[in-house]
Amino acid sequence: MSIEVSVDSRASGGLKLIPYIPRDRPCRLEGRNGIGKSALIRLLVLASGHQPYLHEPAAWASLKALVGPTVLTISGMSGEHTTAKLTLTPDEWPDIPDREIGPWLGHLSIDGATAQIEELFDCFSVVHLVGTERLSDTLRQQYARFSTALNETSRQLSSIDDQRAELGEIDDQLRFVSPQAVATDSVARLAAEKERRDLEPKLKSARDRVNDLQLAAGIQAMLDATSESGKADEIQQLRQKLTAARAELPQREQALENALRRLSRGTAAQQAAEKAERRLSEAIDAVDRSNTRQLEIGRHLAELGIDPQSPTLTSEEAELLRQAIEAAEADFVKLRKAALRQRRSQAENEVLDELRVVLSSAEERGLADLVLFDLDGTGISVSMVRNALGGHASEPIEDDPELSKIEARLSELRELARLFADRPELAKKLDGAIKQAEKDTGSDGHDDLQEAVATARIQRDKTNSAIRSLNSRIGALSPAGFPDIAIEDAKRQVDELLQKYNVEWPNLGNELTNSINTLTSFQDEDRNLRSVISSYDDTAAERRVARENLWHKIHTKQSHSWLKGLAEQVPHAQESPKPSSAWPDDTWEFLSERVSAARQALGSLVGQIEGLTTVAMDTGSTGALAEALDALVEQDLRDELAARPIAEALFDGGNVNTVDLTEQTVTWTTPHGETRTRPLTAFSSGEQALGFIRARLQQVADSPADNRLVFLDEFGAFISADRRKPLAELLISDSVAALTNEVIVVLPLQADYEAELEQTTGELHDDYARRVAAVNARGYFTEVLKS
Amino acid sequence: MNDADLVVRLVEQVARGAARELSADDASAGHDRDEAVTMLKALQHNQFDVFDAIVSWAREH
Repeated sequence: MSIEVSVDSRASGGLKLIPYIPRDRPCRLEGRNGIGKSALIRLLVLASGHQPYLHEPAAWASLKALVGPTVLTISGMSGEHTTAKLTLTPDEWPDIPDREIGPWLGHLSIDGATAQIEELFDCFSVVHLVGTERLSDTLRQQYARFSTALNETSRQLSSIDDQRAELGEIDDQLRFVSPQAVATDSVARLAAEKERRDLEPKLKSARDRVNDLQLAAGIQAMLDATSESGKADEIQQLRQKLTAARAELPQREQALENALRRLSRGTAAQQAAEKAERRLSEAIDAVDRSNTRQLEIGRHLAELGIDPQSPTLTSEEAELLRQAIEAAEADFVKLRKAALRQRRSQAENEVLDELRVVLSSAEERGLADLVLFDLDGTGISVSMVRNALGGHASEPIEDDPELSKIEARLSELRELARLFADRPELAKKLDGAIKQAEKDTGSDGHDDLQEAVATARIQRDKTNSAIRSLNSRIGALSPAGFPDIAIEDAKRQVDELLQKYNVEWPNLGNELTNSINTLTSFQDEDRNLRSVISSYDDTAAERRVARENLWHKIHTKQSHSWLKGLAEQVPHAQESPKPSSAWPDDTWEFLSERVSAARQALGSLVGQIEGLTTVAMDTGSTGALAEALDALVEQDLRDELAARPIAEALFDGGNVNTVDLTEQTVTWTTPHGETRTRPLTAFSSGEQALGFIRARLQQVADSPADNRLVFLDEFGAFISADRRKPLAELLISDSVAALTNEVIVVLPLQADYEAELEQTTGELHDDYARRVAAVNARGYFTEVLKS
Repeated sequence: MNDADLVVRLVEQVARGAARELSADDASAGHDRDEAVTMLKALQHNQFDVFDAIVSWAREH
């Protein structure tokens, strides 16, 4: 029993479909070009559940736009059902030709009842063989199949670009917090610490050497200078006078005190005078102390280019001093924090580091002024905590010479600032005391006791003034930094220092330069190592905070929840409600490794698909990816050619071994064991082409199916007069006889039947007349194919 | 064979091709490419959701 097809076309826009395929078999369907023969065949292929437009998106789009709700009726079916009616729904068709045909194709009724589209696919099939198909076409189709598949996968991979970017960020975060990274940094930090410990004695030794040699050079330079100019003798004399004046001072003070006591035991007026004198003495003493102290620590002023004896500061000088104090404070805070860090336990430092990371991050986000908490009525902001962090000492630091040095410098700079700040007040008090003394001591005329006090005070002040003056003159004559020692002692000290370092005097300059270079080098190295260690500590704290943040995200954010699923794959993993410490290092390492490997695999996959997509579009490509593609095409083609009917027709019934696309050859072994190789082009014409078609038909015949239509399209070459016999033989041969009830040979008009009609007679004339009538009516005719 | 299977075959072929070219000492590169195959399968299985695919991909290792 054969099936027939009726078409109720709703096509528009020039799309035509032939309206009917009769039950005649084998059927000859011959007609004008452009009447919709091929279009109907392709629609029927589609209705059988296969996509004939897979590599033709433009043709698909055109069909979808024009075909309309055309109705295909397939009747005369064998089996469970006899009639299927499919009403196309092109509005629901996908925009690009989908390989999988689904319910979108149309509404189906089978024997009058609505049915699922898949039921039609199960009971109806269509084979469309094109007579012009050659091996080279098959080859192109193979590449096209891969190209289409790769394009689709490329599109799918492009759609996950955002997720890949997100994965990259998560991978970076996991790698940052991974135990492996922690361990690597830890080892590097230990190495840096050891290096620094090893450097410490060298640094100390170099520093001592430079200090001593500088001292020796300085003393010697001073000795040279003073001996050359005769200053040595002058300084010597001044020192002697200074010693004498210092020895005299206690006596002067005692004399004043004695005079004051005597005055205090006198009359009321004398007692008042005693008080006034005592206040005056104290005021003078305060001014003296202030001036003397300024001289003692005046070197800091000299360093700033300010006269150490200047009683007041200009506004510019005051600013210089303020800046120096600020710089010293910064140095002190830095050194103190470093010193405190040395004294804290690792755990204590870790807590502070982590807080610093969080606070710095808040500052970077513009939250420096955010008040974190209230302490005794004061709002404590992020920046306040950040600045104060790490500065608390439970005990004073006394064993750090460098810190002590900068602390002393800071203290003296601040003292200088106070001295200048207090000076107007001291002057005011002195002025008041002088006036009070003049008032209380001069009203009753001459008084011996008062006279004695005034004399004693003047003597003491003279001595104080002399000491200050002598100090000033000695300082002016001495080079900066010269110690307050005698010349002989200085000479002896220079000798000792040179001996200590086994340095000859003539070489001192060079030795000192070399020593300074060495010290500078060590200091640079030490600074660098400190920086490296500090950087590792910072990174370690950042890691801990980052791990905590990541853990939090994993357990609270949907975007990260998949990592929990991954973590569950860790052998013996146990989820814990506690924070990140509950996730052991193994879990973090597992996550980091897996995510990193997945990212790498994904990147590799995307790269390969991109490369393969490119080479699939250009069959002339070379390289590993092109070779992989060619290998599969060769393999598929070989499998197709190895099918028994084709092997019988084209390869002597032997076994197809290889298809070589590079050489464009097929190699097979005959049943007699002979290996033969032939170019693919040899199968493109003549009897070989017929053999190939025969083989394809044989393949179809070997797979019997109910309700099948087998269209032989473009078979003009085989039906023409000189080739009719081969086609007839083909269709009536035993091997394909099973297809007799299925075959429809589709042909363009083979002759101008109307013109030839008058030249024919008998049965042929009848045939021609029928053909002319049908062609004139519908553009095509059908009849049983005769051999 | 559908499109997805075709691409899997192709990526597998790339891995095999690489393995053929590599020396035995350099098996890790081939291993990486095998991971590309399993990643593709995982992506296909999980409708191209990267994160779900990684979870099932990791299970394969």
